[in-house]
Amino acid sequence: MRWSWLYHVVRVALGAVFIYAAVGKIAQPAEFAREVDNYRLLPYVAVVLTAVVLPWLELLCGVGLIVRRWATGSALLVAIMLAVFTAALVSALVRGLDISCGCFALSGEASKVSLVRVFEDCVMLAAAVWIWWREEVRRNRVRALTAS
Amino acid sequence: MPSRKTLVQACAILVIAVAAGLLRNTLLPKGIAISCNRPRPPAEAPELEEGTAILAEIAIAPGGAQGSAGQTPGPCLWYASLAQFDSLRALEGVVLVDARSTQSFAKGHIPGAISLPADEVWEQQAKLAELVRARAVLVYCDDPRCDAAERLADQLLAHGCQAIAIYHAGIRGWIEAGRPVTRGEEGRP
Repeated sequence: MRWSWLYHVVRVALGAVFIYAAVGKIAQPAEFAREVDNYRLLPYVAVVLTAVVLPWLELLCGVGLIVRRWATGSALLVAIMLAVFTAALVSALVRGLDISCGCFALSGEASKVSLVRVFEDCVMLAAAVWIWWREEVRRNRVRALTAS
Repeated sequence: MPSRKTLVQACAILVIAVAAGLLRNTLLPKGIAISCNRPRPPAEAPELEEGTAILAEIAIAPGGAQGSAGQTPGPCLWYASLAQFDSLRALEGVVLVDARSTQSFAKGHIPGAISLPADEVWEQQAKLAELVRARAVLVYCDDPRCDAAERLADQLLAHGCQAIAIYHAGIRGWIEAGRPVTRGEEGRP
């Protein structure tokens, strides 16, 4: 299949990015909760639940993409997460919030909310949609072959 | 549209993530209390009563917190109400610091404040030395939800500042209290 090598590189890279992002947040849930709260979008109980659950969701999806088990479900969830992250970043930028984005390194200067972060999320969102679409096509092809 | 199998996979991953997250949060000591009420202020920073006592000591100590070694309670950090904030500002040798970005500072800040963004402390050593010599440092950021004031206060304590008060309501609380703001960068030393 054309672009097969590129597809695998993108799939593994996106999975690795999500695992990397998840590890720091799992280790420091209180700090991550504070960064989610800084966006001023959610009530506090939703902030805590997000801080508790989201890193594990990122970790599971990252692993799913890399080992290619439940890859369509993982890619779909990654795409949804990235769409939500992008909307939150744009919302923070529009409101002029000077906060760290909570993307990777917690409270780091490099992870401040900015247009660069929005661009990164858009690129990863496109990659996640591509992976999801490729996996759906692959599954349908396998199903057609086994049916015939 | 995602296929039914994809949706089932996504739901299964979501359920496992919720279970793992809640289990981890319950079992480990670093877990967060799941509550509707935002915990503020943090436990390590006293508010009101203890802060008032510290404020009184700073107010009567002629050499400031550092000059009266042996009498003052040592390095301390507390949250100041608007009334305490006003009392402290009136004292000589107390420096007011805006911990937000320089852009936010230029858009509007509390009159008399200097700008020291929490993320630029290492680049502003001269200003840092001035703050270490101050009798007390008042810090603020946007509102109770921002963490720049706390981050700056932690760094100031690490550099030797003896008395730091965080105005928890921030610039937003200041404006809501009907107080004036100054625009531009003229407040910077």
